[in-house]
Amino acid sequence: MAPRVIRDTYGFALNCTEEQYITRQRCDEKQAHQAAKWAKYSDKKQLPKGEKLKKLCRKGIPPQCRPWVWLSLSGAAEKQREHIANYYDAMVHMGESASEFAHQIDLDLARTFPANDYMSTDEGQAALRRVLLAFSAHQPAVGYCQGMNYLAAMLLLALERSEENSFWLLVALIDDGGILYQGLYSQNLVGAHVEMRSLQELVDAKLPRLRQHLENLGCDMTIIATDWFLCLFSTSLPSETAIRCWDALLSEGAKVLYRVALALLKTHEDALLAQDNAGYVLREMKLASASMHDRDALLKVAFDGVGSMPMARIREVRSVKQAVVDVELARRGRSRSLREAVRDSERHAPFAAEGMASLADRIKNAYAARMARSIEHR
Amino acid sequence: MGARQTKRTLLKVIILGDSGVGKTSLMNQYVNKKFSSQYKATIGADFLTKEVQVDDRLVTMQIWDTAGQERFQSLGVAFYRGADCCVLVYDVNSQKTFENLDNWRDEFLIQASPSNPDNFPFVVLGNKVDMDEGRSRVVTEKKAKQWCTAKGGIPYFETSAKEDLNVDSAFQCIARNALKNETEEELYMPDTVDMNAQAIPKRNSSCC
Repeated sequence: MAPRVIRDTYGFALNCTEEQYITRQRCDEKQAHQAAKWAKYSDKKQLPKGEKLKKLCRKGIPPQCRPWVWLSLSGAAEKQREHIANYYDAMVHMGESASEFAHQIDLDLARTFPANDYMSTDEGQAALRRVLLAFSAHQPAVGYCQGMNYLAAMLLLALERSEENSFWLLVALIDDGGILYQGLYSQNLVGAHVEMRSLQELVDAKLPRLRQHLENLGCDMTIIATDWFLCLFSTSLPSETAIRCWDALLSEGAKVLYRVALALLKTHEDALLAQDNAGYVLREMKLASASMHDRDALLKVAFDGVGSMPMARIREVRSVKQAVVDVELARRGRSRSLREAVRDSERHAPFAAEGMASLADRIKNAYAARMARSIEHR
Repeated sequence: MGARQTKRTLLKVIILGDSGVGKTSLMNQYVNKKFSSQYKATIGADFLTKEVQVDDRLVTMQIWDTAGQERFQSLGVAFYRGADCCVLVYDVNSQKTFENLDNWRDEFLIQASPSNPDNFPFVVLGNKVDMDEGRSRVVTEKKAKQWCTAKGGIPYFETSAKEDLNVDSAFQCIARNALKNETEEELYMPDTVDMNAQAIPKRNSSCC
């Protein structure tokens, strides 16, 4: 049967098979059922407490409740209260008048969900631009990092296009002490390195067959999961599925990313084991993720099918990996400064630079050899 | 060496360069014969494959595309592993993207740590030559070629992914150099040790 072309809740075009279409309808029905359970909280705009809240969020927040629920769950509303009333406007102004990140932001506007109904409009891109510029002014040490464009765009779509709410959610996610791991988007993506290695460790422990196979193919988690952690699944999963993950992420924290990542790998383990090359593993994973229309099924595996994963364990793994990554990136930084110095001297004193260049080559080779060894030992 | 013939040859090619120079577009133009100004910004990595004929051999080229923002360079090691050729792309209308070729090349060599870095095949593409009918161009062909010569004779192509200019011939050259590298890497495998063998520095520019 010919695939159906539909538009989902957030204005993304989807090709789905008849079977996927039926799955989606079933999920929509369940969602409608959940909406009834939220009604009493929605009236007073007051969140349920404790376990009840966690449970309800795992089953999905009704789309119409997301704006107030997300703001309050994530700490964004609190952040907003801590700042002056027109803080967002001030940051937009600051970002617009001078941001070293404007160039990169502008490059990415038209490349952020270009097929989405809203993000393909001038209006949508202008809103995205303001949110990203404001964030880069608010947090200049992070500025703008690719990946954040997708976050901000999903926020605009989920929060009824409110720029200000999207901005505060971004702040709640990325600021130090926020929901995502520190330094995830920082200058050398140190946090992303840590998250990838920590995920690797959990995969090693929980999916030993897959671990062995990926190791044989030289396929580490960075290949598979970088965009999962930097875009919070918004570029990998169908938007409604991704948003469901965000419901739980905002309520329980970044360990949800690990749960969903492991659930995706586990669900498609057999298909991944059948691939004989790192590239094909990546392709299989991308295709499989893009067709995860059964959001209930994915979240069921994430929460009931990957074993226990206390935050304390993740913190412990992260702190070990952080120490290793810090050392490696510092070494990388030193070698890079040296190379730049050599290049500078080449430009200014080409003859004297020859000796320097061969010295630099020797250092570079020694460094490369050490990198290779450290990879083998991992 | 009979075993090599029966094994399917898979060539891994990495495309590097600053954000927005057209890496994804070049790859798509070559593989899918399509141009769109609407590609999603690449986060992490993506790749396309294409079957190519190089002389009498049919090979599969796996072309990897990565994020171009500088801070993503540090993640490269995972993606560059096992590469057979590295394509460096800059935008002829942007000086900065040209100057950064040095960085991309260095990073690649360090992170991929190929067995023979001095002879590892690179190909440089100066993209977007169509833009504004060449009036906004700031990096001259001469300047680019000088750089390529200084780096040991890297083949150079001026391309437009949009107008499909020179894209095929550039990738033919890329495939050829990747295949040569792959073959040489296999020759380095010590299953037969020739005590008299010497590493002969090869010229990359034979096909162009």
